[in-house]
Amino acid sequence: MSEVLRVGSLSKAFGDAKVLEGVSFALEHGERLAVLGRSGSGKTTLLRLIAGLEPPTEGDIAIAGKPSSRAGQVLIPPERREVALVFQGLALFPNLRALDQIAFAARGRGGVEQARSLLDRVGLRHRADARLDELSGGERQRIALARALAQKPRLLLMDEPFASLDDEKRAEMRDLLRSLLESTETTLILVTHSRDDAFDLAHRAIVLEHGRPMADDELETLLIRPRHAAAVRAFGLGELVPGVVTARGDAETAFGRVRTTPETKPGPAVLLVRPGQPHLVVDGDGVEAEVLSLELRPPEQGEVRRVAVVRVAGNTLRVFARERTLSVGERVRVQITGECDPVRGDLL
Amino acid sequence: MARRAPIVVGSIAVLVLVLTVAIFQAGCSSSPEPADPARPTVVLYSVTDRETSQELIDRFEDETGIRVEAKFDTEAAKAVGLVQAIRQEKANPRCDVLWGGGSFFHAMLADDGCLAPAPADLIKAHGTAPQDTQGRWLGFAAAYRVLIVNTDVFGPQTRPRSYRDLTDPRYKGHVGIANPLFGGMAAHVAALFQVLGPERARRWLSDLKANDCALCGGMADVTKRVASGELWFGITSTIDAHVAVDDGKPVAIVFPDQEPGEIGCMEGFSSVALVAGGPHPKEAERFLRFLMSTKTEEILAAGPAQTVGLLPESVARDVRPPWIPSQIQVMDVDWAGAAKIYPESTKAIKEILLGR
Amino acid sequence: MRTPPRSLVAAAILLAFAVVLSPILAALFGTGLQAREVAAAFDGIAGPLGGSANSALASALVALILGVPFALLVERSRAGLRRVSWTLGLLVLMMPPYIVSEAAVVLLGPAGKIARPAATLLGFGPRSTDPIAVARFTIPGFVYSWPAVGVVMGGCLFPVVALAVASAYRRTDHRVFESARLAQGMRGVYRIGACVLVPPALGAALLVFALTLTEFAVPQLLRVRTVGEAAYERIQEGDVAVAAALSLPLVPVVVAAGALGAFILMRSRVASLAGLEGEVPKFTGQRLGRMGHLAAGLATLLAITPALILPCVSLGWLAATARMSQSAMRGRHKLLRTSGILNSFRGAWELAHDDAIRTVLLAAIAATLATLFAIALARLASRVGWGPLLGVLGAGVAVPAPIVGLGLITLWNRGAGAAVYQSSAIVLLAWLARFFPVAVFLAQGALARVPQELENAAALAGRGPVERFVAVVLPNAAPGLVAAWLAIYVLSATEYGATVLISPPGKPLLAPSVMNFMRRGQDPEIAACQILLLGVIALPLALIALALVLRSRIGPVAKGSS
Repeated sequence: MSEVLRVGSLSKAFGDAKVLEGVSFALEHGERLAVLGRSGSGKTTLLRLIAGLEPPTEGDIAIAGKPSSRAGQVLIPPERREVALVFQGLALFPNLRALDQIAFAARGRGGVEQARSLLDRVGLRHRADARLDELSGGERQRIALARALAQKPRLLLMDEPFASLDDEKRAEMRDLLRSLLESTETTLILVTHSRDDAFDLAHRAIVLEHGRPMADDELETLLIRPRHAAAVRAFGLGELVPGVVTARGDAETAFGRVRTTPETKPGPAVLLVRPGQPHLVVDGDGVEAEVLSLELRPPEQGEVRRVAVVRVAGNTLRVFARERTLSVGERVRVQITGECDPVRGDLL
Repeated sequence: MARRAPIVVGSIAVLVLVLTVAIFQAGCSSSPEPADPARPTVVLYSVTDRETSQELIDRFEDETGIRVEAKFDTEAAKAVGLVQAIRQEKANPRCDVLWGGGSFFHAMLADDGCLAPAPADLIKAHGTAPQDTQGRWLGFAAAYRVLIVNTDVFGPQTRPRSYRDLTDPRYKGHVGIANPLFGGMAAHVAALFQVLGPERARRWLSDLKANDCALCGGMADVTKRVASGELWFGITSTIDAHVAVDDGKPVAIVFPDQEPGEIGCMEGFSSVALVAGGPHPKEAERFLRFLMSTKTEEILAAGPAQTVGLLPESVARDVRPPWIPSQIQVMDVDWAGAAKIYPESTKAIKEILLGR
Repeated sequence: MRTPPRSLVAAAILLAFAVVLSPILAALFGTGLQAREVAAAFDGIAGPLGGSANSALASALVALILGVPFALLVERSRAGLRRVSWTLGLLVLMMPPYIVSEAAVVLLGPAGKIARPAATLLGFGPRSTDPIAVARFTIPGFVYSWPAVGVVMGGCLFPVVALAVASAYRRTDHRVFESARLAQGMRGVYRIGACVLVPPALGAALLVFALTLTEFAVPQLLRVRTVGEAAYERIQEGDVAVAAALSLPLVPVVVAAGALGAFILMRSRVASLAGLEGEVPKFTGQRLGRMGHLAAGLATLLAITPALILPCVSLGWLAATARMSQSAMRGRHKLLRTSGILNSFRGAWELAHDDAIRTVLLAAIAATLATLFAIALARLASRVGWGPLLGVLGAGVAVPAPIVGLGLITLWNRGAGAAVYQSSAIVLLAWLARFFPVAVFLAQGALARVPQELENAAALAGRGPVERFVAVVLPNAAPGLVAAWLAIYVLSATEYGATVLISPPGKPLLAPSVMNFMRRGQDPEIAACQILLLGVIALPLALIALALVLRSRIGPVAKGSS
């Protein structure tokens, strides 16, 4: 497979504020990368640098093997990079109707016919003459997507494209996007807050925190063995609990003693406690905790799952309360079973 | 929070009330003392420039205790300003005395029944000074239509000397007059029609047109344009001309057509009239008498207007600014005839000069 | 939410029509209109109509040429330059056009203080060194032409276009331009830029066209025959009704141009917002580099030259070249004949300070009344969907000022109306008749800019209609409403044609007084009078600026101390 994008030690600062630092990765043709992180972590800035809308402060970018940006310079302007960008907020053209939005980008690339075909593929053939203010949020999303694909881009960048959609519409859009990407073999970088977006669409993921890449791996690997707290938070893989790892290979935490992986070094650590590891115990083992609040989760095997948020010495943990009916303020005993992986990074 | 709306509505109501009161009492009085409802008043519409009339107004108030409520217009806007206002107010006159605007427009107002005759003794005392045949307007304080000449352009021996020089092709595009459709120049052209006869006057207008004569916004505008060098010379009034001379501008005043056999220069004058049905007739008469006095003409001769006395006593005492010659050959105009020929002269101006 | 009763709205609209249109109706029908005379009067109207239309078209073009680059460059420049440029633009709007045209003649006329030396330097001067030949040299009088009227009026009104374009630019998410660039390169950017910016520019240009069409003082000074002058001729002949009839052809043109302009501006506002999803992000495009800032500065300089720099240079020249009289003919010139600008200013202030105070007070009252009534009218009309009807009020702008004055005399100088006629209320009625349509237009725009969602949110929070309006709509519409107030204040304070006719005796106002002095005065007096008038005009702006500065200084202190 040919390499579509290579980013090397990319950094960007606005004045004294460094918003991106030391980002490096490469993408092959047809690969799909999800970029996650909190607001202000530099995700949008990364996309804008790749699109050539801003020059990097340090580092370089090569698209299809051609140097496209380097420190302080945009070597190839945005319109010649064969990159399409679906902005957060969509940035649809104010005065153009639906079909014209797509035709604008399709000019020289199949023209109106291509535009009609894409409009059809996103299921909006009947809305070709609709004005912007006549389109619903979901329809505008589809138009924005079709417009981006009309460019026949080498690389498609999407910045939280489904942010304003409800869960059902979101799922529909993901299905649509996936089918379009697979049929066109388009390489994708998707910036998102949504884990489901990443799970559905991406092969790989990068997690940014304070502008730095904290995790960068195949998605499956990240889910199985996240090595950084940022990845845990981004994918909702469990909860992070501070502890001290002993020479015996276990750790002392506020929730009692827990087992860690054999290679864990002794000393202070942040441990990943996955859902299902904390249990309520009746007596004996475990640590006494106070129930702070009660939550529900979607049912599994026909049964609604209840979750109690418990607190011990200022540390909180979510525990499934399978058969018990609890009340807020009740004192319970909690125990963590199974191995807890250590992760790098801080508790926030 | 719920109480805010009534407070706001109440505040707006109070504001509207205050504004209503303020509207009817707006502004300060133009006299230093507060207006006293018992103090007698006369309402003056002054088309004479305020700078000229204000001193006399102040004197009259001091001497008589009668308050003058004056409304001023500009010389350039004569015919479309207060003269028209008096016409519109005819059914319910607000003005007592009209001062300025030229005998021409006084004659038109008189014919429309807007003016009342002056007291008989005043008419008699007016002697041979200009006046309406029925005494409905009285003329005084003469100013002359002169040529204002740029001295950077003309040496003393080469200066133009006649109204005919405005049509001299040597000066094509560099001469000017005030727009003859309005104000004093309209009266001047009518006077030329009356004095020269329509045919000669029309020929003069044609020659003016051929000479690209500029039509300025008024006599003061002509003066300014000549002073700046944009025009080389033009017709203006002594009232405006001396201002430029005093300001040190490179201009000189030429009294035109003074050779034997020539028509002489036009003598304009200020007119005063009582408005028929005015609200304060007694006070109006006192103001008229105050204006129709040699003392007033002496003040005007010495003041910004620099006019020449026309009342019999003023003529006897030769009341005039020192720089205006005493023996001026003046155009012999029948003003009643000029008023009659005015529609024809206006038509000729539009057809010939303005190409309509 | 409940709509107001239509009968109330209809009554308010009728009242507005009565205020604006009653003078011309009185002038037309109250003074004996003869159809035959009217028909004859329209002979030869083509020339004046052509003069009016050509001047108006030229001014719209000039306003576009000056306003669009100004807006696009200044909006992208740094905050400091942006503030300075917009302040200068606002000062341009406050400059009376007849002062600008006087400056044009003084500086650029056939014997212009700039034009003549420049022509000489460029080699067009006389070949001879004879002083008389040199003195006789003048340049062609291009300043006396309808293009010159266009330059003057366009120079005075370019901020209208600049504001419309800048407003559209600010409202646009700049990622739209980036999208276009990614798709089609710079050509795409220009295409989309044109879609976003051309409609508001054109809409504003139509407004400039409408305002210039009815201007009288500037064409008269620059010797261009217009419909206004034709009307003046009729007034001189005593034919007020015919004079009023002559202005009627302008009415539909002004109404159509104004309405079309307003419609285009409203549509472009809706369209530019339609592309946004959710909250408005702060994507304002990239700031200019050094060359860009230089270009922004040059664009500002060019834009303010006709209506700000030229008058300042002219005033400065008049003040600086004042000389003591050396002539033996000097008379006893009491009032203003002193040397030097300061003495002249003192003299002018002594003579006219009452007029100035009276003018400030009345103009402020007129602006307040007009703005309040315009807010109420715009609000009521929009709630029942009758907003477009208010465009017909634009007809008031087309009526020449003396017709308004004479019509008001016919209307109010009788019976119970005499009390109004003899008070300053008649002046307010004249100013409202002339300028209330401007207040309505600005108020409509300001209120339309407040999103309906804000009011809905206030309604859900339990606020009644008046509270919602006062607590939510007014604060958000405040900048536009303040602009409306300032516009009416300036227009009223400088109004001359109607004011000179109907201001009550004994209570003169500043504009006629200034015109009076300017017609006859020497240069220092002219300069002093113009400065006095400009000072009165600028007074509320200065007070607002002072209030803003004090608020920003006192505000944080007050917060800290609580």
